Amino acid sequence: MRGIPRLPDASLARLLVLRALVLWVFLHCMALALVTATTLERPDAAALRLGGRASLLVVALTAWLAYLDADRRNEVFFMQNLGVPRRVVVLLAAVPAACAEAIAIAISARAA
Amino acid sequence: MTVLRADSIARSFGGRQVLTSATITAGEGEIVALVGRNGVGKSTLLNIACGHDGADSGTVTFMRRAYLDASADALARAGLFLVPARDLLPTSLSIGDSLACARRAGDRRALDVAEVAERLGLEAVLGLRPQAASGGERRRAELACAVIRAPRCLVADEPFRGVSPLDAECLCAEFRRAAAAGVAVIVSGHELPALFAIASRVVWCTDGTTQNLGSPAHAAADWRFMSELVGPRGL
Repeated sequence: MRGIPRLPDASLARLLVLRALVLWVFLHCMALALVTATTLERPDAAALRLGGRASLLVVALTAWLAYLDADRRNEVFFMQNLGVPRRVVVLLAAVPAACAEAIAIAISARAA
Repeated sequence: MTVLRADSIARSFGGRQVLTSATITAGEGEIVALVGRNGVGKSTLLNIACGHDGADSGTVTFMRRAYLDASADALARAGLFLVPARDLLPTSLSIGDSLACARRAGDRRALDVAEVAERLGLEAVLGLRPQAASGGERRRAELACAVIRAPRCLVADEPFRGVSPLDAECLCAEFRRAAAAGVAVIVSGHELPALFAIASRVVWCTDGTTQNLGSPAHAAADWRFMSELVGPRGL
């Protein structure tokens, strides 16, 4: 078992996922504020849908910011010492953001 | 048996050649003291040996397996633990939770959290975040984390920096205990009395290379080492 990359401990994984979701919401709020400011229209459910490239950008940005935040809190170094690769930390932030993005796209598509 | 060997390591930063051909080894039950002046590359060498930094050239061998581009997590899974000069414990977890994480991530050899915490006098700070603990308590907690994981090789970068003599003695006892259990230990720093008290071998990092000085007694008798590192006033 020593050679297989590990997942972080549940307590750290929970924190990472939660922070990624908060960041995802924050980035979407920023995008909504930007759309509202530029179009001067009241945002509706369709405004949740960012479009292909923008959605990918939000997921990547969420993962990157979550990784930087984890690194700032010594979590990345600590997890590496426990056998968790950096890419797992990035994935753990990217997966919930991608799921949230998919749900947002589905909601906005249904509303449209 | 040699547990960790970082061989002929070269590393430069922005055109400055810090290491040209540095080598460090540690065998089972051995405590190696890596000493040298500030900026000679001790931390760089240890970071490369533990996979936290890449070398320009050289190889890392751990448990008879050579790693061309060693990653820290792969070496950690094989039984290596680095206590860095900077803070190790996550600021988002209490010290007790971090130790429990280390316990759960360990294999069947991992030690009991309560037992190690008692040995290192950490019972009162288990509920605190690392930033609320004193420097000495943090260093003891970081070493506790490493000890709980029961590594095959324990590397500690400047563990005695800024800690009181009593805390330093506590850390020394734990290093000795680890070595007695067969763990290969590498400790770096500038605190020669503490390092010489525990080391079985002294390695001097200077001019981009390393020199094996032998036992602390031999190192203390080396006039060039003493004059360049300690100065004319001696220990």
